[in-house]
Amino acid sequence: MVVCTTFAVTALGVEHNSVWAGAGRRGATESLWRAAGWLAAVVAGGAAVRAAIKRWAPNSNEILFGIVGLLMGIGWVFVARVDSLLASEQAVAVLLGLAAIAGTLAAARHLDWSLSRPGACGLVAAGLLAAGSFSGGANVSAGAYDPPHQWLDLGSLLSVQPYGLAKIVVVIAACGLTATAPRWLGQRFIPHRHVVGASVAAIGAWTLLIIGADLASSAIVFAAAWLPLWLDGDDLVGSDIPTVPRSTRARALNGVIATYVIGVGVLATVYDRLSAQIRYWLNPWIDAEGATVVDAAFAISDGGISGVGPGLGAPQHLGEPHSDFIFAVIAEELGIVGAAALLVAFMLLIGVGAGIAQRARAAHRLVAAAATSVIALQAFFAIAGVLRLLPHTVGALPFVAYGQLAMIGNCIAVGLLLAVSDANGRLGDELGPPPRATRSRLRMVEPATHDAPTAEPQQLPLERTRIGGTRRRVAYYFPLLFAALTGRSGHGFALCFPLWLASLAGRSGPGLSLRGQP
Amino acid sequence: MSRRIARLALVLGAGFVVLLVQLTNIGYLSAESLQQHDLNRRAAAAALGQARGAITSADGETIAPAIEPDAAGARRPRSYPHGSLYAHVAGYLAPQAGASGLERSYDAELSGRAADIALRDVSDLFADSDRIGDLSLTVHHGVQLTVRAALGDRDGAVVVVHPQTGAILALWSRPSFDPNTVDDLMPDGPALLGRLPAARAYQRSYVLTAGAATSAPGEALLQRAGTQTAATGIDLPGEPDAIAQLDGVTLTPLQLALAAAALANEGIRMRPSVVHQISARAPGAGTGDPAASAEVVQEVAASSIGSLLEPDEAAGLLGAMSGAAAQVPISLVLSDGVEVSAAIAGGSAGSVSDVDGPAGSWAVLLAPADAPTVAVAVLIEGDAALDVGDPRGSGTLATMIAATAAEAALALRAVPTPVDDGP
Repeated sequence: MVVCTTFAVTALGVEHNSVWAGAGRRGATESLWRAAGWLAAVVAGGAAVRAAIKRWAPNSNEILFGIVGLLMGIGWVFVARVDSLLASEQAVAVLLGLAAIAGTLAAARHLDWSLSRPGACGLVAAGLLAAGSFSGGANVSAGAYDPPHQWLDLGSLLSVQPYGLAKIVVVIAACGLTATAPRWLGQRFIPHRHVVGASVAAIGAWTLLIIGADLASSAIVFAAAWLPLWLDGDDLVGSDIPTVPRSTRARALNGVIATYVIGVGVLATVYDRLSAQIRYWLNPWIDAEGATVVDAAFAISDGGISGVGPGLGAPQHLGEPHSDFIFAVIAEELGIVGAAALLVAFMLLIGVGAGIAQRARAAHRLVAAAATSVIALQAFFAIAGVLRLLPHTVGALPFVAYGQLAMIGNCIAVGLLLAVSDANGRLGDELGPPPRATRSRLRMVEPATHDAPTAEPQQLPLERTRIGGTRRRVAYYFPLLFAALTGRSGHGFALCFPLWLASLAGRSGPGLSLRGQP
Repeated sequence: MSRRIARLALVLGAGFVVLLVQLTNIGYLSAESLQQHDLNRRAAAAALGQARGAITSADGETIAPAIEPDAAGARRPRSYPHGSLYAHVAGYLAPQAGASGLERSYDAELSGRAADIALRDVSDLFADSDRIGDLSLTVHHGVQLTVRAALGDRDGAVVVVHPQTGAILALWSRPSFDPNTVDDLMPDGPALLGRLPAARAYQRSYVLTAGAATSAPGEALLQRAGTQTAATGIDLPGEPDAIAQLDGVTLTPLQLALAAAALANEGIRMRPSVVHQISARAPGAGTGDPAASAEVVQEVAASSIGSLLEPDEAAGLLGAMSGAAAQVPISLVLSDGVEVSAAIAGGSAGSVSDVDGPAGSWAVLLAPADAPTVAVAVLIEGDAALDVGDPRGSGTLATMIAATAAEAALALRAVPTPVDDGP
């Protein structure tokens, strides 16, 4: 609840600030009210999902949703700030995403069902990927710089990016492939299923690259399939199924990834659309016509350390500021400090996700690790494209950028993480005290109102309380720090106060009542 | 515990650390060079509608009038009353095309963001300053007009320098363009840059050879000038960093003028500058006498950029050039009937990119010959050195243009007029 409050107040504060700054200049109070209405809807949705998590995944990690909520809140605020017409659409996207989290949790018992049917998942993924690829195949102009388009136009209601959803289905299919030996994979191939799966993934990713000319999506889809197979190296999953020796398998999997990388390199040199992207990436200054990445660098350099202030930047100079270059908008208005906070939020997400994976059992461990990786990789490629570390291809920054289906896909991944985390917690309760100290750190302790108090608060180990407190404090103070450090012209201060109140409320709220329970 | 999961998390985390480093690089370490970049039109777009200082020539002619704040908040564009005459000096400021010339290199001063304009006393630390900066140039409007008329409809460049300070008295490049209409040329933005003519005077270099009439001193001058071809450091953007000496002595007209000027300054090259002083004032103060409330915040001081040759060598070369001038009888007549002699050198020029292309010609001229206070470099493209008759004597066209320029500079007293001119 406290995390939810923090999210809400953060979003409220930033939005107030940005809309106020923008509307103050234009004198358009109407748009402020409209935005406030959508903001209320978003916040209410966040609170509802928080309640749903309490209900369906009471033992799950509570920091995870806080991070995701913060990212969604920041994303909604900046999408709405860039284009007020998108405020409603992005609010719908956030609500759909929140619904996806709740839905995934509700349906989490079907996770094992999905894992046992990687073939079905693979078909669904192939369909989505095909939809995504062919939606971008329409405008092929060899030679000129041609940024890949992933938007499948389904009329005015939903323009969607099927890639966003496909990735997570690929993850489930690959995890299932390692966990079970499906009937359609012949007996001869069962021991080699890791390499077969990885090879299929590489061929599929190359095909994607040829059709869609999208380096990042190809790499992410490949990673989504390859990572679960590689992570299974410890034979923690499906050890009853015959397989080739571990070292042989590791060498083969490394060989597949090397082949994939070489194939991408060859394609990038011979394929006009790709090599145009590479040329443009290496020297964007020459081609002033498509200077979007250059414009992003100019925007970030204008932001400097502390930013020009929310609502005070100039996103009109950027192409696609609401989706591909949302990170540049944030870096301009909140500065290096704000953008770094965003990066830290993603790093926290990686840490929490890896923690959940470490404590999980069997195929759940692969699902958690791969879901975290897919989100992190997508964020990495999106930001690296804006910062010109990699060719700019895929743009959707998870949870932040405009886009509905990508939001849903990423939220399903978060829902899976929460479900796995909850299963870890339940397992902990059933098995009694956890065998390792690390297990206990993120374990949710039931509030006093719970029907079956399994542990007396007085008996809680002191260390557990302290560490849990530290982590929670990080989660609570992160938005505070974020707000305090960003924005010139007093905007940071406007944010500080409500956030500070929120963190004060958090101290006495149920989430932090660990020490004070009767 | 799975080591692979830990390794995976570490690799992903490391990726974000790399992003953080690159973010710092773009946003902080290389932010200044990005903000100054040619393609960056954000500052220009932001400057539009903001108050902005005036650019004025040395003799008081307004090159770009100040933009005063408007009660209605109308976004008025910057205007340039003299059109193409100062396009390569003042540059342009336009919402789409961005900024160039002085509008770019002195953007902080003109808009009043520079610290020495914004912060005039302690109270300025606590209140936003609304002062703007006015630029007063060394370029003399009369000389600039004369130079443009002298070059006529030929492509090329004329540079007039005061040897002792490096002050640029005239800087004309043809073809030029109208800075008032750059946005119409290319509504899509900075792609325009490649299509505007470069400043022949300081952005383009030429392969130079000495001509027959003045071969010995001309050769020596070119050889010396060819040893220092790094950027001169003129306070205008877009000068090439260093010029490769591939096909003989390759120089910009500005470098040629500075090399000639060094002969009159004991062999020392001075840093060229077009800005004389910067003054701060509150906008709107122009209703009365604008100069009354303005205060000078910065005076551009003369500074050396290295010695080109020894003083006695310089004097010897100057003498040889005077001798060459004697063979090509030429004399400058000032408005009060005083005649002064000149030292000249000249030759032919070729374009760097296309050596076999149309040949050009060049000339340098120092006047008065015994103690020069004006150095002129002329470069004409696509026009072989031809001898023309002239009331002042005969010589190549480039020499005649140089003589006209020097005459104007001396006659209009753009520089201190020599007194010991003899009977």
